[in-house]
Order: sequence, then C-alpha cells, then structure tokens
Amino acid sequence: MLGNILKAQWTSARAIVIVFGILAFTIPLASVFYGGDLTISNVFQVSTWLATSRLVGQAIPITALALGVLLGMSAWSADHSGRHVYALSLPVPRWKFVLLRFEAGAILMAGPVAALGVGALLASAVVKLPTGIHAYPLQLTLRFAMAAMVMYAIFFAISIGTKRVVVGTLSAIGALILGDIALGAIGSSPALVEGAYRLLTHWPGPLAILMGRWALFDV
Amino acid sequence: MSRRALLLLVLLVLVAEPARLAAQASFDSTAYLRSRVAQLDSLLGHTSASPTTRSRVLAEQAHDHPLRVQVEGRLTLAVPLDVPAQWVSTMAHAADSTLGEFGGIPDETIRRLVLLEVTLTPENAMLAQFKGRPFASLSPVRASDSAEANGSKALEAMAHYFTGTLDSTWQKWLEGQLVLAWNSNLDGERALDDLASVGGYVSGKECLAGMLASCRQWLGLDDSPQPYSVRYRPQELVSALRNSDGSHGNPTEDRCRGGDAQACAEFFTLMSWHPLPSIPASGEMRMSLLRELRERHGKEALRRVLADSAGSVGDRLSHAAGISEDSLVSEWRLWVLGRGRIERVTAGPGDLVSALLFSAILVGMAIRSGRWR
Amino acid sequence: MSYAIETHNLSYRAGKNFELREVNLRVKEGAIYGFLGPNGAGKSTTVRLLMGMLPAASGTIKVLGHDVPRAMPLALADTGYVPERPHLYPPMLVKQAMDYHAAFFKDFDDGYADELLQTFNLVADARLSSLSKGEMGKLHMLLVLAQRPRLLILDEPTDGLDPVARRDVLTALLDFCSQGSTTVFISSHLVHELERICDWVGVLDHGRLIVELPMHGFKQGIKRLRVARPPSLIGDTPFVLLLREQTPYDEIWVVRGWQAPMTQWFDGAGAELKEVVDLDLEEGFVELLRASRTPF
Repeated sequence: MLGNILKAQWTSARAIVIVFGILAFTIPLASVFYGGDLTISNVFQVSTWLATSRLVGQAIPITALALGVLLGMSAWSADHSGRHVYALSLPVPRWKFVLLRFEAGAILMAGPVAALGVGALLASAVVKLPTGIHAYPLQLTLRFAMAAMVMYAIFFAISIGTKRVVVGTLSAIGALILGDIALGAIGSSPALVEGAYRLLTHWPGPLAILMGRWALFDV
Repeated sequence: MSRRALLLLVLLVLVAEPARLAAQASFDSTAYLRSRVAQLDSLLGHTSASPTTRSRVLAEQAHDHPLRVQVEGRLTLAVPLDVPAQWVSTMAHAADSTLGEFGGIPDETIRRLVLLEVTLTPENAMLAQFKGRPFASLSPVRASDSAEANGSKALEAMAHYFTGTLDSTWQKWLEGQLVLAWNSNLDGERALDDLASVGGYVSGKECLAGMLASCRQWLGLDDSPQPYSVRYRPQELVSALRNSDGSHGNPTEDRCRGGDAQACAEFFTLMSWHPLPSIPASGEMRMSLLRELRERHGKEALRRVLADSAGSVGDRLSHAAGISEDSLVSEWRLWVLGRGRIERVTAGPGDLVSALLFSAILVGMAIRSGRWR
Repeated sequence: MSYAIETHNLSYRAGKNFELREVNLRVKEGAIYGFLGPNGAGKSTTVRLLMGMLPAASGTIKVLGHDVPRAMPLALADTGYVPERPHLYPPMLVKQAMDYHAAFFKDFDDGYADELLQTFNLVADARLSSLSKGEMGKLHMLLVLAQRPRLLILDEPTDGLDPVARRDVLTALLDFCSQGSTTVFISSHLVHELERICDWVGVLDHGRLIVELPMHGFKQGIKRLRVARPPSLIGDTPFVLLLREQTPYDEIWVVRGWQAPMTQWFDGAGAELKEVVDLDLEEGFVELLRASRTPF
C-alpha cells in the first residue's frame, strides 16, 4: 500500500524531488569551488574562504524550506481538486492513510537529503582544510533533513486542512500584522509580529532549526 | 475563498499602512518642532530642556563664537550653540552609559575631560573656566545621526584621549586606540574566526590546539625588543617578505629575501613598512582579552591593568587579575571557543528533539483535520 | 430482512437553507435502488453521509451492517463508490490508477478490469489529466466494478456523459449486476434512466424522503383520476390521496396505491369516477413532487 502511495506521490512530485536533488547536491560543492583556492594553501585567504562558505551555506536552509513547503503542498494537491472524495472512499482508517501519505512524502524527501549528504561529503573530500577549520557534512545533512521535515510537516498539515483552517491561519497572521500596525499608529510599540517571529524562530520554536549559521566548513 | 481572504488582508494592510506612516510622520515633525523650540529656548538664555537633574548648562554665549557648555552626567561637552541641548543630552547619556559598562577609565579622568566640538578652540573666552583641564576633540554632532552614533563620537574622543595618557607599551599593544563599546557575542564569534583563520599563523594554530605559550605570542603579551622573532616562526617571516611586492634596496631586506629569518625580524622591527602586523592577533582579539579580564575579575581589575605601567602587557594582566598569565590566557581561550560557537553549524539534541516533536504534533493535527477525522 | 443500507432518523444541516430531516432509508440486499430527487433535494448530501464523508447531526447509519462512520473502513472494503464528479489523480496513467486502486481492495479482479478496459475503450497508457469527462466516468466505473463490491453507491454516475458513454456505463453496470447479488444504490435526477434498471425507488425532496417503494408499485400505483361531483369531506380512502386540484367541471386527484376494484369507493361516496390515467415513472415522479410541495 505504501509502495502504491509512494508511486502516486512520485508522479506528482518528481519534478520537485529532481530539481531539489540537483540543488542540494550542488550547494555544498559551490562552497568549495566558489571560494576559489581549493587547497587553501594561502593562510591569508582562510577568513575570506570561511565567509564564502557561510554565504553559500545560506542557500541550504532556503533550499530546505522550499523543499519542505513544495512537498507539503504537493502531498494533497491532487486530492484538493477532487475535494478529497476519492481518498476518503478508500477502505483504510483515515489516521493510517494520513500517516502513509506523510511517510511517502518523507521518503521522497530523502532523495534531496541524500544528494546534499553526497555533495557535502564530496566537497569535504576534495579540500585540504587548514588547522582549526572543520567540515561538517553529516551534521549539515542531518540538520537539513530536520529543517525540511519541519517545513514539510507544517505545510502537510496546512494543505490537508479545510478552507476554514486556511482562512483561520491567514486571519491569525493578518490580525497580528494589523494589530501591530494599529497599535503602532496610536504610539504604542507592541511588536506582536516580532514577538510571534521570535517565538517561532527561537528554541524550542518549530522554525529554530532553520535559523543560525549554516555552513559546510566552520571553525 | 482563501484568495478573497488574502485580498481582503492586502486591502486592509494598504489602508492601514498609510495611516501608520502618517502617524509616524506627525510624530517625527513633533519631535522636530520640539527640538526647534528647545533651540530657541537656548538662544533666549533659558536653561536646558534636559530631562535629567544631572544635566545642566554651565554657560552660553550667543555672539562672536556662539557655544554652549553642557554637563551631562560625568561628561562635560562644549558644542556650537545651534546644536540643540536635547541632542547633546541624549548623546552624552548614551556615551556615559557605555563608559560605565566599560569601567576601565577612572571616574576622575572622565569628569575632568572637556569634550570640545571640533570647530571650537580651547582659547574661546567661554572656556576660560576650564583652564588646566584637558580637552579632547569631538566630531560634529549631527541631527542625521542617531543618539548612539553621536554618543560613539564622544566615546572615540574619550578613548583617544585616554589611550594618549597610557604608557608606550600600552600604546603599541592597543595600536593607539582603545575600543570602549564591546559586543560580547560579536567579539566572541570574530575572535574564534580570527584564531582559526587569520590564526593560520603558526602561533595562532598552536594556540587553538591548546599551547598557551603560543597564545601569549599570538596576542603579543611579551615585551621583547624584537617582537617579530618571538611572535612569528622563521619561515613565516621569510615567506611574508618574499610574497610582498617591491624592494627598498636595504641590505637587511636582501638578507631576509635570501632566507635569513633573523634579518627579517630586524628589518620588520626597524622599518615602518612591513608585510606582517607586529602582533599576529587582530585588535578585536586583544580587546577580547581585556573584556575577559573585566568579566572574570571585575571592572577594578580592568582599571588597575590600564593604570599599570610596569612590565609587559602579560605581566600587567597577570597582576591585575591576581592569577598567572597562563591561567588568564587559558580562561580567555576557553571563552573564545565557547562564545564563538553561539551560532553552531551543527544541530544540537535540543534542536533535533524540537524538530521531531513539532513534526509529530503537526502530523497529529493533520490527522485531526476536519475531513480526516 | 437484512438491509445493505439502513438509516434511522438521519438528519444533517448545512447552513440556513438546507436541512436533511429524519431520513429513514432501507435498501434491501441485492436491490437496485434508485434514489430520485430534483437538483438540490439532498441526494449527494445523503450519499456523502452514507460514505462517512459528512458527520450526521443526528440519527444512525448502517452500511453493510457496519456503523457509519465508526466502522467506515470495514464498510468501504466492500463498497464501490462513484462520486458525482469522478476524480482520480491527474498525473497518473490509467494503468497506474488501476494498480493504485487495486492495492486497497483485496478482491480486485485484474482480469475483469482489463476486460472492462477494452469494453470502455480506454487506453492503459493514457494520462488521467488527458481523459475526457466521459472517459474519467468510465474509468471510475471500471475501478469500482473490478473491486467486485457487495454494495455499489453511484452518485449521478451518468450525469454530464454523452449518450454513448452513458449507454456503456449503464450496460456495464447491468452486466455486472447480472453476475451476482450486488446491491446498487444509484442516485439520479434522470428518472427515465432509473426506470430501466431499478427495482426499488426512493424519492427525496427538500431534504425529506417522500416515498420509498418497489418500482412496480411506484409505476402502477400512482394514478391521475378525474372525479366529478367529489364529496366535500373525504373520509377513509382505500388509496392514498396525494393531490387534489379543482377544474371548472370536475376535480383531478393524484393517488398512490391504486387498484382497479377501488372504483366502488366513488359510488359509495356519491362521486363519479370519469377517468383513470396511468402515469409513467417520470410523470409519477413529477406528480409526487407537486403533491409533496402543495399539501391540501
């Protein structure tokens, strides 16, 4: 059953998986090649090289975010147009069906994650690192996987929701923005949006995994 | 339906945003008017509009060389009369607060110094009352700069003056300027970067690896008359010169190019131009050592070390902290390694648990979603 | 008597304008049950309730003996459902859709599916997004027939199909029904279509089940009578008087449960029965709806 769901998911999300697989494989290699000197023989270049690695590394959480969002949205896009009627007529307990769909999406996500891992290991292997600088290929891959997973879970949950859920989510965001603007206009500085942002992006918030420094090479 | 909701949201933002901007604009214009009124008040000879009781205008003169002398907290400032008293007050309080946090400059020094705006001269008759007190040049105070930015000008003037009062050992080590505003996170991160990257110098690499003697060399804590030969390895000196452009036709330089590292050390010490800094560690790294002294051993220790003029910088730090030089350097090294990793590239167990937990919660929510119940 | 579908006082409310009120459906096992009603009567809502896709406000539902929605997966395992707007996953190929569907039904008959593929003239390698509405309807019918269900629930299965596709679908359905004792619950507003295939009929209007009876009873029992000198007060009648309309000379009565010997009742009541008109299913359906909307 999982195999068939996986096949179905693959038919609708293969473009996403392939494009992000290529991207994920390329980014770690770009950390090396974009930085210039492959052997880092010149110690004066190390600082610049590290900065480049961090700059290129910024693309990794963005890739994880986009991968998670697109896979999450594609997980139910085919059902949306048929108002989920076909899926609901299948003789599987609904919790099990949702889990199977989530599982299938997570398995598809393993493609780009593995691509990032391979790219990162390759990039780490071709460069001779100076003392004090380390490569973090596996840790980076794990973090990428977790970040993509959280984003996938968020959009999986939103996209399965009814119109009421979507409108409710948008309204909550709108209310925060409007509340901020309205209170700002009367001279108060409530920073509701900032507060919500902090709550989401600082540990233990769900988006904390996306924040901070992303780099294949670091001290 | 969701598109309609989104459209409604955008419309509301479009309506509300101009209202907010209008409100902000009216607020700004009010602030501007207030400053103009304060300026006019000053011209009419009223007292300052400063909100604090510690603030006072000592004297004003509206003709010849119009200026105002203002005491704000511990700072005394002389500025042109067209600079509103409110601005001076705000900037001075920002600077005084930073000085208080820094804690290394004696209170007496801060109180005695008169910060004189660069367009004014100490010969001004209005400043006769400060005869015998030191003056420091203050960059022009501008309305376009924030209170913090104007405050930094006061800090720079204070730091420049104070560094000038220190002995030559300090002046060389500080390279003429003490930085008074410290951002601990940034310093920590930069310090680790420096140690690991610019620290490509052998002394830095060894320091990172845990050799404290190399940390001392890297930070330039010795008082050797030939610092280059202590702080750099022979091959580093030779290759630094060989990699640099141009030649001065100096015989010592020629010997250095020929591979004589001792000649390189002599050449770099004697010449004003050299391809290597006299101290391998950057200015920020050295500041972070002082910061570590203050954090671990208090502001008094920082005040004591800057007032000390005996021995090497290392000796002074050791005396001030009351521990050995190696212990202090070791504390600092651990701080650098710890603080520099505030933004880890790796995900900790907490991050992983949080990510998995939220994923599980969200899947649970998906299962509970209306049509899937 | 066992029922494939049984509802008891089933009620549902959607907004201010629509309500399903105490619907008591009884679909016998093996029956081909036509669920009739005009557009907006609540047929699709009833079907969605039977499929567990909507929560009932009150009442109970049993499908193949299983409580709905509590034991829905058990009921669905033996139920084939073709929705009002057939929809499968557009990026799939026809054969992938067949494999996908087969994975969920243990009795899925691959041979029969291939046979139906030929019958319906469908191409196995065609992408679903390229199928016409008729082809999509046929594919969906193929899938549910090949799963060899005990119960088929078809919601307007031929609505919007061209005559050829409609004939193919109905022929396949009848052919399938002739092979075994599958119960078919077919909702439609196309009365003449159901007349050919159903043996039971239920009529829904404005969320109420007006009538539920065998097709022969429906076709033969509903008559239009022309009555002269009707009595002003009508007591007990051997038939069910559904509608009474006055004309300048006499009255038109629509009755249910009519049998020939009942003419004697008019003699006893002092009235004269001038004409008995047979109604076909569609006319009967229309009269039934008129009667339910204008009670006398």
